[in-house]
Amino acid sequence: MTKSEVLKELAEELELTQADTESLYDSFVEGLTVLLSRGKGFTLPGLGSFHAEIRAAHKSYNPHYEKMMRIPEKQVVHFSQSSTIRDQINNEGENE
Amino acid sequence: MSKKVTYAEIIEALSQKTGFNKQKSEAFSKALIAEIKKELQETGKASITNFGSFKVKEVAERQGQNPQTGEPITIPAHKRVSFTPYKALKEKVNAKYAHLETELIDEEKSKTEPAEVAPLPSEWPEREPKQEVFTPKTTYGDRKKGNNIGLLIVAVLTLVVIALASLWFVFSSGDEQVASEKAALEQPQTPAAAEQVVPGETDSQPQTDSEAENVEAEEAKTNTQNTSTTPADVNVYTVKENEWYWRISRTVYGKPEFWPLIFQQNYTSDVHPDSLEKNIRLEIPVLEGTASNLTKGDYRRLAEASGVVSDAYRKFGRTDKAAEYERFARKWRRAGM
Repeated sequence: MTKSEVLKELAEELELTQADTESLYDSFVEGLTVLLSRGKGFTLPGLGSFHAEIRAAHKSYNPHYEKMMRIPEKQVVHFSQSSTIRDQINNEGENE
Repeated sequence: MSKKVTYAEIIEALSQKTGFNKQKSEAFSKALIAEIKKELQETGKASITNFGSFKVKEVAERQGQNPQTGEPITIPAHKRVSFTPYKALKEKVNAKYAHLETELIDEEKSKTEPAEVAPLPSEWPEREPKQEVFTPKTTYGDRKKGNNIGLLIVAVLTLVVIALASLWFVFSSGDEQVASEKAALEQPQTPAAAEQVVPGETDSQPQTDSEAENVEAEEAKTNTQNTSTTPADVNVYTVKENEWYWRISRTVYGKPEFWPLIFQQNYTSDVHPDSLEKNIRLEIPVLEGTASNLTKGDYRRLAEASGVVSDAYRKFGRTDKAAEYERFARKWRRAGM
């Protein structure tokens, strides 16, 4: 589903114009991005929680050069699913 | 905890930013989450533009352990939601560390070693500055000493030049001061004049400097001459961690398949061809030709060396490898005829 399709549906549901929905959508996503880039985590209820984590520097083998490489540290996004969504997708799987 | 932001805070920030009231903002985020969930359940995939995508993944059954009692348990196959951040999000989150880059650990060595191990005598004068950087790695103690003295001389000379220049500056500015009190326009002349004289003073430095370099160059030349006159020319290489002949050969010659040459040069009766200890010094024979254009003598030496490798493998019961290198030996021998 594309963004415009999502926006259309949301706009109908919330009785807002599509432009308003879009501005909400963009600010929402931007806000989440800023939070993560500051290293703050948050939870979207029913979906899961996000947090930024520092992946430590490590060494790894590069098969192309056949040499070890030094990988610098990196801050990455981690997501862990909520228990509600876990149960939902797994129950649905059993019913099928 | 300061590291976590509550849902209520997110909603408040959203309503402040967009001007909608909190109810509307919350309704929006609820609806969006519901939309994602619905899509995940229906298609197994969902995405938030500019943020990331969610996907339902199948997890296979596996053996686990009860963390409290330690008894083994079977974790049944199940599904889970995974999240992949999009590039924009990844880059923003990693902005703090974006300047860091991966690097090959052996890279530095492979760049410097070939120049060091197979130096071309004709290039010596041009390579002189580089030579200074490399010397700590080389094993010629006397050359190292020469360099240290050279560096010392350069340092002392620069100090002297600076002292002279500053002395001159003090004197000349002393003279100028009288004049400058009368005419402020003349002041800029002082630094300019000082600059003019400094090159004159430094003229003596490059001369002595190059003398020192000449001495070094000569030393270096004699070092290479001692060894490069005969085809059995040898350089020394210190083995680093995780290195084998094959890899060293590639570093030194640019061709891994020449490793028997190194093995033969350093062969003592019962060395396994696949074992090599860290920090030992290996003698690296120098080719008569170049790696891409071998002379017949080089081919003969390769053939001989492959024979030695073959023998060494046979001693350790590796008949397969022994046969392989016998074949190589024959191949090189034909090429050397």
